[in-house]
Amino acid sequence: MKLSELEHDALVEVFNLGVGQAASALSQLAGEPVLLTVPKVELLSKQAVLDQFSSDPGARISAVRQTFEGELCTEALLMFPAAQSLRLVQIMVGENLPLEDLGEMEQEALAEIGNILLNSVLASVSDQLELALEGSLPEVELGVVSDVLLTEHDHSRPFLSLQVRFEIASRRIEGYLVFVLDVCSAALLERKLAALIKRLQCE
Amino acid sequence: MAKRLLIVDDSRVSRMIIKSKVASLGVDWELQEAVSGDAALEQALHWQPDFVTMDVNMPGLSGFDAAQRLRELYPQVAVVLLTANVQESSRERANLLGVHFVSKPVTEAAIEQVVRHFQAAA
Repeated sequence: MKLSELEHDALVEVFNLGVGQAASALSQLAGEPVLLTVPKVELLSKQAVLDQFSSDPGARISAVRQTFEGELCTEALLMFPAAQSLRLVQIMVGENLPLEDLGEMEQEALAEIGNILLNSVLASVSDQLELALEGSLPEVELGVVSDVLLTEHDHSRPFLSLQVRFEIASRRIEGYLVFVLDVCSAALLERKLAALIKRLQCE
Repeated sequence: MAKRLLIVDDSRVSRMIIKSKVASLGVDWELQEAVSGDAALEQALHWQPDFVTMDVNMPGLSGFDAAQRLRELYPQVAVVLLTANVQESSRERANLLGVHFVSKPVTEAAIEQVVRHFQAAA
């Protein structure tokens, strides 16, 4: 799959708007601004995605995974260092519950945060590209980065990878939203991007 | 008689936050919870709620399907879809079902919107 420069820009912008929606949702929960990087879009193998992510593939992370299927197949991940997990949960349930009482509901709260953030991004992508997407239920995973990312046998197969780093500075929380698009649906994605560009040019 | 609100969400945390924020608004409604669309229909039969908040992505019967069944069986019940599934197609489907749509996260503003809708519908 080879996107033209214009298609690449359009895809970045589509995800950028979605990430903006996710940031708005997270910011509503946190009650403060969320810093985000511009999405990085690359054609990579999952192994290469992993190599980009961590100088320490053995680092433990918490992750929420959802798959979105329909006209496009996308694996979506919210990932952050495991040590920050409870701080992220506290954003959702509020300050009244002490950290030590949060453990019991940690996984459910993480699943819900992932559900909100990942759906925010994919809803925007779905709306802008006029794609029908159906999301799975969120699943929480705890493990090393390599175990979370490399779930398939075809580590070397290329995927369209989109990564965004987010940070809530005052709460010392940082993490990544990662979207891995299966390039089996590349032709459709190119058609949808072309249609979007045409609509934008007509406006 | 106090109005009855049924909170339908597979996430315990979401149910907990919805309950807490509804209570903080000072409404004196009776609250019950259901963990799935199927459980919501069962509870609606026995408990007869006036209002229902409904998540969409749940195991088993989806929130859309459960809301549709509720609208068919109990047209007097006001239903709000309270969901992270914020695609335009989901909002359109909510419109077609005749139910209100409020997007997650469950913030005070979101719950105020839900409560105002129910109060207007009562």
